[in-house]
Amino acid sequence: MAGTTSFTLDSVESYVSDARTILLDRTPPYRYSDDTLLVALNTALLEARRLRPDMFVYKFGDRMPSFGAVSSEQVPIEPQLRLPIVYGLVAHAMLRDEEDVPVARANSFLAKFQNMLVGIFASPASPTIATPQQQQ
Amino acid sequence: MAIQQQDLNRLMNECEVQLPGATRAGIRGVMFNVIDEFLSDSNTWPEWIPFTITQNTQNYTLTPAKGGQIKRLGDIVDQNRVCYPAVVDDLLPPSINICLIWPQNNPVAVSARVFKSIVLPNQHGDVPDAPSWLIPQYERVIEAGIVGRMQMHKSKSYSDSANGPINVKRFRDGIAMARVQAERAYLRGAQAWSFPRNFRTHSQDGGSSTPFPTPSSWGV
Repeated sequence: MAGTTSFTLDSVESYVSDARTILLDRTPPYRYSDDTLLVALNTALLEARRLRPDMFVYKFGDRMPSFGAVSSEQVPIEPQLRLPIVYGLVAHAMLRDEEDVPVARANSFLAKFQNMLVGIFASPASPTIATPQQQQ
Repeated sequence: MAIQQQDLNRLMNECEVQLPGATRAGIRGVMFNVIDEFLSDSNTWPEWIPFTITQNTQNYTLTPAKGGQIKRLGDIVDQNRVCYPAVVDDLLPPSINICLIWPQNNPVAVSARVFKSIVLPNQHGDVPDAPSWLIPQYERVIEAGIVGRMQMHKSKSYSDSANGPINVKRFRDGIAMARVQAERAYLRGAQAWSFPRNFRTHSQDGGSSTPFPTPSSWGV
């Protein structure tokens, strides 16, 4: 998985790969396990359905796609809305991490995710602020 | 008969450019409602359905042979363009049940003109099964309808409360113009009036007047 480069964001693998880049977690052993990122991806898709039902209802009705493995399985998101899903994935992953990533950064990605789905302008991401332990 | 791919591509592209962040699936979903509203309100999709009136039978079921569902009944005429009054008893999409006002003593071959709209299921790719002339003839109207309806969606990246109502108004104006064009059989300068219904023997299609109650009163 590590080292995989994909610019198409069409598969589970490519979403997780891009999320690991943003999370600065591309070198094993990973800080965020595959399972954690899969849960984050599935959660981001559920939140996307709440905000933008048109992304799913015409194709899936009341069902929702979910993914259980980091594979080449296709994620059925149209190209113009793939980046928000990455940000949603990253936000959910960061929200679970209480060690070295400030919640503010997670919230900023969550805001980007939501704004890109329901608004035109994406809010800027907050800079990563070092924790007191890292500042020492 | 279905929408041609090149027409659909152009329409989808035009809509997508005006609706940042909209999904193609969402545009196609709204497209169904817009086309249905256009065809239902403008009476621009007619079909002549031939059938035979039999003795003492007043009830018939009409089913379109060229797709769509019947929304309303226009005329029932025989080969001499004599009208047979009827009412719609029941709507059974895509068909209708009609009841002739007067029973006939002899069998007579007639044609019923019905006005249709689109019906599910869609054709391949979730595209409404609409007539092929619809987009080339009325692209700007359909585009305004799709864009306007989507701009009036709440809390979407393409929501636009200022331009949405303007586009919907353009759409409704387009429906009104299309209805008049179809009424006048797409003729330029056709007369807008029609002879009083009680006196006419057949429809005003083609812009030709029917000034006499019956052909026999012409004295020929």
